[in-house]
Amino acid sequence: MEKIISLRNAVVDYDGDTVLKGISLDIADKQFVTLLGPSGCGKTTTLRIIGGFLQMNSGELYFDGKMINDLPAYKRNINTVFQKYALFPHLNVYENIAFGLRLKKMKESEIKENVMEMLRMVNLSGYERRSINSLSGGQQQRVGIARALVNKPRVLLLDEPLGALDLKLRKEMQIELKKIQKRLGITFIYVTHDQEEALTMSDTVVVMNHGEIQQIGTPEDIYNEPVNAFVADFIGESNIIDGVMRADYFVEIGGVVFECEDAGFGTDKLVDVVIRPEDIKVVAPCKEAIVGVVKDVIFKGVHFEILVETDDFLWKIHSTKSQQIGARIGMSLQPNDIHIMHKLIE
Amino acid sequence: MKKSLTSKLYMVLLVLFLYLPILTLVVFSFNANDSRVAWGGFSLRWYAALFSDRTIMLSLFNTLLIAIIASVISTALGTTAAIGINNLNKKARSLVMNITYIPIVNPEIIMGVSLMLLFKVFMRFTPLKFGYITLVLAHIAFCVPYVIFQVLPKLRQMNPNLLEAAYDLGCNSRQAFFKVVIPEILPGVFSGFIMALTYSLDDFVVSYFNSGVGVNTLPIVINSMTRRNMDPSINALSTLIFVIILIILVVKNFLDNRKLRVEQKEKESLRSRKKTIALIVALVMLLSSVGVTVGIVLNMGPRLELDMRLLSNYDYTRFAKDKLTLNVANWGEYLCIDEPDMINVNEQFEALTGIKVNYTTYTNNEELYAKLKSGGADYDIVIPSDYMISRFINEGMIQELDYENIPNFDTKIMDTFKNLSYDPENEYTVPYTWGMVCIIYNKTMYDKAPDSWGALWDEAQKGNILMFNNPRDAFAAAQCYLGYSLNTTDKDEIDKTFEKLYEQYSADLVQAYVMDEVFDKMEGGNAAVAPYYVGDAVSMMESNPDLDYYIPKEGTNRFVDAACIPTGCNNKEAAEMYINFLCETEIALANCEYIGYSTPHKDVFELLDDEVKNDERRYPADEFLNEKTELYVALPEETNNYIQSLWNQIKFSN
Repeated sequence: MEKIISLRNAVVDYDGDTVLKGISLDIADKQFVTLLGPSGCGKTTTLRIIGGFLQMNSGELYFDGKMINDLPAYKRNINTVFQKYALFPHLNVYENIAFGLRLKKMKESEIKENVMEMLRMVNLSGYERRSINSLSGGQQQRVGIARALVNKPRVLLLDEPLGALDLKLRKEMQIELKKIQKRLGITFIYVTHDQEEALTMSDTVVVMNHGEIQQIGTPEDIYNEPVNAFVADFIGESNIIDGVMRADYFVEIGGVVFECEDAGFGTDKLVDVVIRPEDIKVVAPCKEAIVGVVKDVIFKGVHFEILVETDDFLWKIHSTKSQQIGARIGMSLQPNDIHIMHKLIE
Repeated sequence: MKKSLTSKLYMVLLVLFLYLPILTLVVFSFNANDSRVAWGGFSLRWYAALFSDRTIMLSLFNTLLIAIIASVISTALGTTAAIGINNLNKKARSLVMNITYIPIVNPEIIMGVSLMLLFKVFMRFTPLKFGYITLVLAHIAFCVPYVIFQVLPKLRQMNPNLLEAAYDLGCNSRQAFFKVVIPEILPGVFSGFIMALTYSLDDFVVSYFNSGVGVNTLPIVINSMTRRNMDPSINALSTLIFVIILIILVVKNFLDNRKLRVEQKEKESLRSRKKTIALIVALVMLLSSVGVTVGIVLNMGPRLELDMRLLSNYDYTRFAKDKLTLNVANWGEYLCIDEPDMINVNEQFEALTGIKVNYTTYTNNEELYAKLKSGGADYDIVIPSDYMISRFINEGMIQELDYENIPNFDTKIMDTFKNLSYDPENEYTVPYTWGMVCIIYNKTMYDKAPDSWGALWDEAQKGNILMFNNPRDAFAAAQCYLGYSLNTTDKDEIDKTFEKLYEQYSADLVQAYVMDEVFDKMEGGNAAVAPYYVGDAVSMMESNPDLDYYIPKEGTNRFVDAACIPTGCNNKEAAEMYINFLCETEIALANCEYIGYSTPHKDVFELLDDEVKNDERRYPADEFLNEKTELYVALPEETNNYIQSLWNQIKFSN
């Protein structure tokens, strides 16, 4: 796939505080890429570098193979949808969307055509005379998206664009955004801290923490093969428990040795073991299973969340079958459900 | 919601408290006579007088011009400054903001004086002069902080992403500023402009120190009128200003309300309404300035021609090609330049000689002294009173005159007014006008006409007696009564004078210690008797025919105001020409009629109505003048201080 944006060794310091620790990132053309991570991880900083709102202390930024470090924002073929919409309150919906086109000195008839098309696309036809302040949050964000897209950018940057919307609206807009991206066939770079949002929409997810990239991959890769405990913990729910690699393909967890698919960690080595709650099978207590006592059962709609206490860990199980609180149960694991990772050295 | 009676009453009282003064002013602007208290029927004469009063119109024009220029410039400066401050880091910003605060909390007087000193320094190196430029600069200096404080909050409220959005959509910095930042902060910019405009319009203190000579703003002119009875045209002007502001507010409110309704119905954008309001305000301002300009233009040009044949044989044209300017400082309403059907003395002089006259007014001798002493004004001609003249001579602040250049002094000034105590050899001065202190009384309150200073100590009029509200004049009244010299330095005599005054005070004889409030009290019939100047007594009698006046038989204080040339004068010969011109019979007659005080001019005296000429109270026999009247001379500092300390016992003993 063709690269449209490349970031090389990007370093950003704020008053001696290193926010980006030399990250490198390639973004393929026409993809939906999500930068995911907790607040302060550097994802928005990365976006602002690409948008041209922030200068790196060192590093290079390439667009279509050309270095654009010193190209001002208004000369980049990139547009942004801002978190708090950042619509111009002194202009109505039509004029907000037409803003970029007017700067390009486009003919009035063409402007009208383009704006109307955009309004149709974001389902706001008929709202062109409305003032910004009379719109709801969702409508404002649609105007923000239309205002950016009408300029036909090669890359659209979205900085937590749905953060201020309620859950239902957010879900609708996620689907809509994905549809728009597919239809226009341009690159979206999307910043969020919501892992579910990232997994739903992205072609590629970039997980970041503490100014570093933790993992880059498809949503499936990231979810199923997290490279470390942070990613595992951040993407979906996980049981992260200490284990000991007894030999290649054999790991001891909670005093029980399980077969696994990992090798090359050495013998009797302390490792992190990640097990997704839905991968644990409840069985009758036996030697081949980890045995614990049910502490609590919470109904979650699609499934029950069962909390099971063993000597040194509180397990989380997602199951469609409920259990009796106080019951002794066994937990059985299949080799492909066990993910072995090096201990994070903090 | 039902409101209780008390809360309604409270509202009514509050509104009354706020608006009663303005209502009074509006009512009296339609008064047919010139009293500030007595209603003489409905008339528009003060509105007519207003538009034909060149001093007021010109100063109004100056005020508007300076306010508009200064507020436009300070809005631009303040807005850019606010943007700069907003981009500073926190520490630097709070430092700059504190510095910005200082001019606002600083007393205006400090601002005024310090600006004046700064300009003086600049004047040493540049051709800068006090006038429009210094006024505009000074107004900008105190207006800019107000603009900053209006604009900065708007900038802080602005979503910082807005600017980024503008760049993102293709704006360069300049486009982003004009297309996004300015519309966002416009309400702040606009209110900053309005604040700057209002502060500039009514500034007195700063303007006073920085106007120099010739450029007067309305507040300065109004202030200088307070020595004599204030011209009721000011009521008319204030009413007009009030009505204009009221219209602006009503229109604005109306638009706001309509805007709200429109919002609900059509959901139209806010922008166009704000523009309309701004447009209306701008229009009203424009119209009023145009009106003033038209008023001035219509009044331009000499209304009455001087009859050249009546002038003395004097070469008035010898500086015609030199483009000279004379700076003249005089008391308020003390030169005939504003009367619609009389000649304009300054214009006549300019037309005759080709010398430009910059005319300024002051309120009292002390103010003139301060201005001259501080170097804040380069006057070429001043007209102070007797005792101040002797002080000027002692301190070398005025220079000897070359009477060769003022031949009218010899030929036209009465001998009684030469070689007076303040200038014994008559080397420095040419008398301009004179008068005496008399006693004004209300005939309806007396069975028998009084004739003595004793009227001010009359038990029968307890609580109805007015007294001078300054130590020199108050002591003089008692000294005349006791038969002492007005210039005595004898401690015993001063103590006895004080006892007399204290007796009057402690027996509650005095209703109030007043200066120009005497006009209102006497015209309104609110007091029985008061000491004041003859010329003013005559004008009070015109408003209230119940009044009459007399010169006390014990004798009285006489004052002489005389023209002098300060030491700093650059064109002494031209200044002497101006003084000579003031002594031309036709000119002196116009001034005498306009001012209403007595004249020291022989020919003018001869031309007066017999009724006036033969009035012993206005032109007493030389014998009376020489023996029974006394001029003030400057007292030694210790005597002054002693009198002041005694006076304080009366003023501050309650």
